[in-house]
Amino acid sequence: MEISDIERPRRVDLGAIERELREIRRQSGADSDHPAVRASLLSLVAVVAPNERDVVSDLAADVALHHPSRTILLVIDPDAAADEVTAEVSARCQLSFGMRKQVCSEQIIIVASGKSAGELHVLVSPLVTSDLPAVLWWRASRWPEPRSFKLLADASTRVILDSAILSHSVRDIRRLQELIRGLKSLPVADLAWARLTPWRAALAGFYDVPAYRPDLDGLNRIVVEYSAAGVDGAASEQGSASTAPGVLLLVGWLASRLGWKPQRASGDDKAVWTIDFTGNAGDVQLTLSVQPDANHSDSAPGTSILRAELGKDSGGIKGSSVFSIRLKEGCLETTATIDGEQRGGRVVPCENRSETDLLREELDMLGRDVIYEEALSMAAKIADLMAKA
Amino acid sequence: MSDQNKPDNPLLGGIRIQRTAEPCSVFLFGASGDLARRKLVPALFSLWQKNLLPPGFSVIGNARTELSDDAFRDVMRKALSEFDADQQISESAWQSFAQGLFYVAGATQDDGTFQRLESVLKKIEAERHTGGNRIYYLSTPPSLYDPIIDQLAKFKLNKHETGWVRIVIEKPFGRDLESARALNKKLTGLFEEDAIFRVDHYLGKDTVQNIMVLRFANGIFEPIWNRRYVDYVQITAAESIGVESRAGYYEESGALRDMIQNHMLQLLAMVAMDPPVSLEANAVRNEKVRVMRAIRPINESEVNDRAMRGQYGPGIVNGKTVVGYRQEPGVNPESATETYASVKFEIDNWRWSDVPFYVRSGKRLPKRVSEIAIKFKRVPHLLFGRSATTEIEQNELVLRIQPDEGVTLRFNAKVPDPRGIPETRIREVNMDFLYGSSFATGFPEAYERLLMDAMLGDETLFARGDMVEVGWQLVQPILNVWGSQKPEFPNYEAGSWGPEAADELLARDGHQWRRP
Repeated sequence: MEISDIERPRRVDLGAIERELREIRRQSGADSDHPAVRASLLSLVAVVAPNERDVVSDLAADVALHHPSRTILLVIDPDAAADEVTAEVSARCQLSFGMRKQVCSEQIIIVASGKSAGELHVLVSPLVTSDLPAVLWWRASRWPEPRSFKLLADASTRVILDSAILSHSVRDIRRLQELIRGLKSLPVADLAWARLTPWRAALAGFYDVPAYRPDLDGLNRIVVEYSAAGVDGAASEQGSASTAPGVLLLVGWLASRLGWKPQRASGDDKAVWTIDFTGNAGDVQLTLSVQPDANHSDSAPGTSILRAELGKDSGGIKGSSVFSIRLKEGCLETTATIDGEQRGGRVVPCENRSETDLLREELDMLGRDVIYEEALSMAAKIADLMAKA
Repeated sequence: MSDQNKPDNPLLGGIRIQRTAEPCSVFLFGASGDLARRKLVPALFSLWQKNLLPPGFSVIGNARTELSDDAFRDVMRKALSEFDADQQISESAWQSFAQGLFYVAGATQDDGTFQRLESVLKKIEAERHTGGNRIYYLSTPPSLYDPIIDQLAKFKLNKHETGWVRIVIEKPFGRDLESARALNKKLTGLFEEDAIFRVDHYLGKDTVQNIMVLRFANGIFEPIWNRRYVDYVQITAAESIGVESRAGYYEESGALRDMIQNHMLQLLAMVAMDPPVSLEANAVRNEKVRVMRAIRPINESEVNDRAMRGQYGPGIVNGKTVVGYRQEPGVNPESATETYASVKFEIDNWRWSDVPFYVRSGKRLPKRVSEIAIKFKRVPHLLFGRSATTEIEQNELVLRIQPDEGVTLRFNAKVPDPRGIPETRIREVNMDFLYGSSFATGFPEAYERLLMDAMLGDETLFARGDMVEVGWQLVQPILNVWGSQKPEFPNYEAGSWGPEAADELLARDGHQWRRP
């Protein structure tokens, strides 16, 4: 597709960014067939490594088509010897639904290397659009340097990160929780958590049926199976849940919502972990089981989860219930077994939601996600027990 | 069990989805009809794909044609591809959904049909564990409503020992006040009011629901939403299409019954109502009924001054020559059915006294547009020079329901004059909110929302019995007068904005219709 003048990135002096953007706006209004309107509902500040720059630039442009925004892409290379900052500006335009005008969003790319990469907040603050939400999206896989991160976050109204990209060991869940705790009451979104939504919705949906609701209080046997590969498909350390933060977040969510207290973790070969909880109605045993032979593509996109089963054993068939969800050909297949009798299940598509989709969804929410924070806190406690075992 | 009495499900907290409906069966009368194939089944399947329907959810279709369950599934699968091309269909999800589709053939007047229905329902309830929860969806011609309701009563299918039973009825709800009252009486004799869902699909539209949000989630509009600041209100629902394949229905209906009595009065009520005390279904509907009751009744002697009707003749729409209404297939060549109606309503309460509400709806108008325009009063004192003031227009807030969904505020601004001439020139400018530039997603299908609400037992977006009767009360004198006077039809060209008499309706008050 031919790229228009205003969509072609132009290099500018740092002090001339706003002036250059005004010029782009003037040019964009001159298209008589499809005059353009500048639209901005928020500022999206994305932090990214140099090798991901083009991917994230395109991704941010896609997101901006759905959430018209000013994107400020911060490409950081703190390990570089040279201490340098450069900037480029461009606009991305589209014909939006139901409209005859083009909607244009602005993109500013700032490349900071060496020491400057740690002082980005100074550059960002004047560029954030006044009176609109500013969202900090930490897309880099390197852990943020706490001071720099805090200063960037202070200029933001919400932070988005992806624990699936950041977590490299089981201890990283605790590190993540500490990082988020340092942001005090600033709303935080985690794309690894967003990937769990279909699983959480399906599990919660079982117990929204009034007849099954009492079984929720009697849950005592939980099984989660997952593939050994990480979110990016790379092989993880054998038998570890560490590269699957989604697994820990899922069980952290269950435990925090149902008021379970983690007691101990054991896992001899670390391919199968057993976590014991004390629940309101007795003991609960959770089994985390790695399926080393599972193809990562068999698991739910981005979560590594293959199957989740919630069971209430009552010592006999009568009074027992098992709700199970597993992946089958890209769909979630749910089954329910009540008093030993299998009830009608269903199959729902588990669409492969891209990073753009997840980010778009997160940008719809501007408040705190307390349920996530509690799930993360519980996941960190479970991870601590696993690390000690 | 009502929603309020359910024990909390702690796992639902914070999940960004709507609630899942309880297991239930939907019995779809008129399953071979246009509405079922174009809207209802695609909407149900979309809800299934979004994981909003429970396991065991079942649909039992009924029509006269003999079909097996499998043949019915094939028909519905084809309808999905034909009428809902935008929906991404997962074949495995379809297979899972289709397992819950069943079919019972037979005429609705026939006892055998209901015997088979009863036995299929019992079988489904035992095998698919729907708990006796049932929805009867009447997607049939209105002439079949009475026999279906009678048969449901005869076979005691209007109640269930363990589950809830609801009935959903499409418009038109009656064809005049008397028939609407009779239908209400029959229904309420067999079902509780909170089990009767009268569909007004306009209320399922997101942009219509936004009227409430605009008014009651913002602090700046409500203080000026009254007779002190508002001069008049115009509500328009224009269509560029003719009667198409609905001549049979439309000949008996006309614009007043088809649009004004229901959709337009619902829009008027949403604009004019006082803030409800909560969003609970009856709290909202109480306020709507309250303002509808405050609408000044039109005496038969006033009808010709306050209501105008029209019928389109041949003309040009969207660049194409089209025939007149009387030349449409299936239409009586001397038809007196109106394809255009406009009415001036007035509301006798403190908020709206002396503020006219002009509503209009018509077919074969120049474009398809639904909107509400609130015209504000002129400034009390003209401060600017003579040349400037002649150009000053009244401020206007336009809520666009479809298309170009959004909100526009029109106000006056100073025209910059690079020559530096010290004369203030003023021109109207627009401040636009466009859904398309703020929310890049499209709108959900209204029927998805309405079906989901019916399954959840939420009646907020459905018309209540008293609301429907008030609507008929308001238009009944107009129906009486129009029924007794022979109109001079056709009286507007297809592609024009309606009959000249409709312009006079506003001109008498010193106003004119908008040209949206």
